[in-house]
Amino acid sequence: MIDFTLAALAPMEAELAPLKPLMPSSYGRGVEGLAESIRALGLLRPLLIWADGGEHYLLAGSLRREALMRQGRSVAPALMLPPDFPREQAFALALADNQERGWNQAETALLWRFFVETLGTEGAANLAPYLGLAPSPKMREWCLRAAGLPEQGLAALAEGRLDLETGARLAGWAPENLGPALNLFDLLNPSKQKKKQWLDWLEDISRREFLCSAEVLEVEDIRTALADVERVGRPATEEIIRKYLWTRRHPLLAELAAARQARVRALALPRAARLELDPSLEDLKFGLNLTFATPAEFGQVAETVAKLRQSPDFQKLLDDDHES
Amino acid sequence: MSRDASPGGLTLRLEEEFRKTPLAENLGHSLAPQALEPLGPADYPAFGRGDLLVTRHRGEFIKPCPGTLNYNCCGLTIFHFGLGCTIGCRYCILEAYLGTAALVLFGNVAEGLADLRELLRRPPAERPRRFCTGEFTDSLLLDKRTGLAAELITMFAETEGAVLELKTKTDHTDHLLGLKHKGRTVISFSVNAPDICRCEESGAAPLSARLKAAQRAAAAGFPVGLHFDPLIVHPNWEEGYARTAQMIGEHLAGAEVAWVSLGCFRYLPSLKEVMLARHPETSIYDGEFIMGGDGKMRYPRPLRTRMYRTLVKALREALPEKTVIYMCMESPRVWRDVFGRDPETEGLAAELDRRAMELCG
Repeated sequence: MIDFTLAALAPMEAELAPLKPLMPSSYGRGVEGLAESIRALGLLRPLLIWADGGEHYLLAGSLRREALMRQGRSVAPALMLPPDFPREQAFALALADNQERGWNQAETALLWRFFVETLGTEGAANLAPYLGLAPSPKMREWCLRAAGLPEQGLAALAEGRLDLETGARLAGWAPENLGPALNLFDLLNPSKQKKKQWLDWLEDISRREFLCSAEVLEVEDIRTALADVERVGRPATEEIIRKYLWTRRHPLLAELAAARQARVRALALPRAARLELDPSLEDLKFGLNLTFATPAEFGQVAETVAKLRQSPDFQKLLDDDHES
Repeated sequence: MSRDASPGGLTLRLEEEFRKTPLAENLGHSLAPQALEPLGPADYPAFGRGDLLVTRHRGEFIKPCPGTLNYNCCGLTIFHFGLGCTIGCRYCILEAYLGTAALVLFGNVAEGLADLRELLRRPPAERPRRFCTGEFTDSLLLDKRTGLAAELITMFAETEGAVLELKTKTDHTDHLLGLKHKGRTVISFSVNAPDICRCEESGAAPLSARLKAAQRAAAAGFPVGLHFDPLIVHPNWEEGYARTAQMIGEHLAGAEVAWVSLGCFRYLPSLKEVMLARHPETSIYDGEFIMGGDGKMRYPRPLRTRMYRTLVKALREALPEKTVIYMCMESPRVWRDVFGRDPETEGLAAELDRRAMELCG
């Protein structure tokens, strides 16, 4: 690092058109607000320019430049870094210049990939703190992968509709599969956990049935549910999607669960006694939840439980090995 | 056709302090040692496939099988001599979790052997009866080079009331057959349905080679053990496992089969992603799984029960009645459904101890 302070640089007038962007510092940001502010208050901070190999690069201020050019301005105040200013330090300055604004996830991913490709992993690691990127190797790997998303995915990342982990996973999908998955997420905005679960199931079904994910999603059940989302609401639609994917991924479990439900119904238990069975069917333990308000009610519930013990249907339920 | 599971092209990397040990001398007969700076487990990932590291083990050499919550365990005691395996089974936790493809042998294994000798000096009632090696590696993968099994077999031959089990997916057993063992070492083979052996254990010895090795071990008077673990759902699995049981009957008629263990495929959830990235062609993770009471993914209980029943029936037809067939890490419920009883961990361990004592006279 060279000893340096921006305040020591004399502002100059820079031509806006020839400036080349140095790195992908802005993604998915509108300039309207900024343009309005410049119109009202003027340019509060000069642009930052770095010269390298005869080219002039815009190090910081790409949105400001765009806003100014929209207003028909061709020049703007700028600070030019001294000759031979180290590249890594120039990147750090650019990041520091935007620190107040922060980065959305698309920008973080794109910047991280740019630094890794330009400076190598070690050089990029020096810049990670300026980018606010945690030292977790997993997070950095997600950024690298998510940066490969097409426009629709990057836009979802930028707007916070997609998390980095899911984005990284979807970046490995073929474009024809990515669109339907992103559309589904856009429409329902499920939680991160649900997204992960749905993608797990989709990938498993696709692999097992030799289909692409788009084909799995383009079935009548899902199309109808999505078309009906306004009427039935998001949570109910999510449940339809979840149930469809789970059942298709787990046909045996679905069949076993249905058979068990039928057996529980056949017991005709009163509302006061709720049988709690292990949904995984592992049946390491069973539960019976009893609710009563008075000693008399307790007596009735106790009687039900005593009868349950002798019920062949109940025994069948507990001992059922599903061979039948 | 024959596959040799022994890793070729190994580079022996040896810490200086172990240069004069019997282990290093044995390895030195076939490998030229290179110097290795002292290192610990955190350094293993710096090494890869083809590296054989001889380094210090700082933990216990002898430990009980950790078992798993809510499931019955057979209660073996493990003698820990190394880590890693080059066989590369697509369901194996070692593939994903050791953080290295290198093989590790503990240069100070003599300390472990001394601990074991000391433990075996105690009266049988005051120490475990059954011991094994190979919890984190294959017992016999490198044994032709290390000579460790011979030392263990001899130690157990001299000990009353204790049985050693060596578990392998190789057929590297012939070098042990002339040893005096007094029936106190069980040579066990991990077996599976033919298609699983061929596709998912492609680095192991072929099933027929394993069974022929079992046959030769039995002919040399060794009790043999068989481990069907993991049982994997695959197309025509019923026929596949029945065929393996039939092959066992053909190869081991009249042999002393100590025990057969059965265990359905189970895995920590994070293994799937790692293994699919490494082996995208495998279909073993496409089955239906639930999260078991131990946090591992398992087939749904009714399916496991069906698999065990199918195999127990086939094995009962193939093997003598006295052969103990048991399940590894299964729930009391599955025990009741398959065998009509739940021995619990203590009962299962006691049953296998009794069988072990029958074998060693």
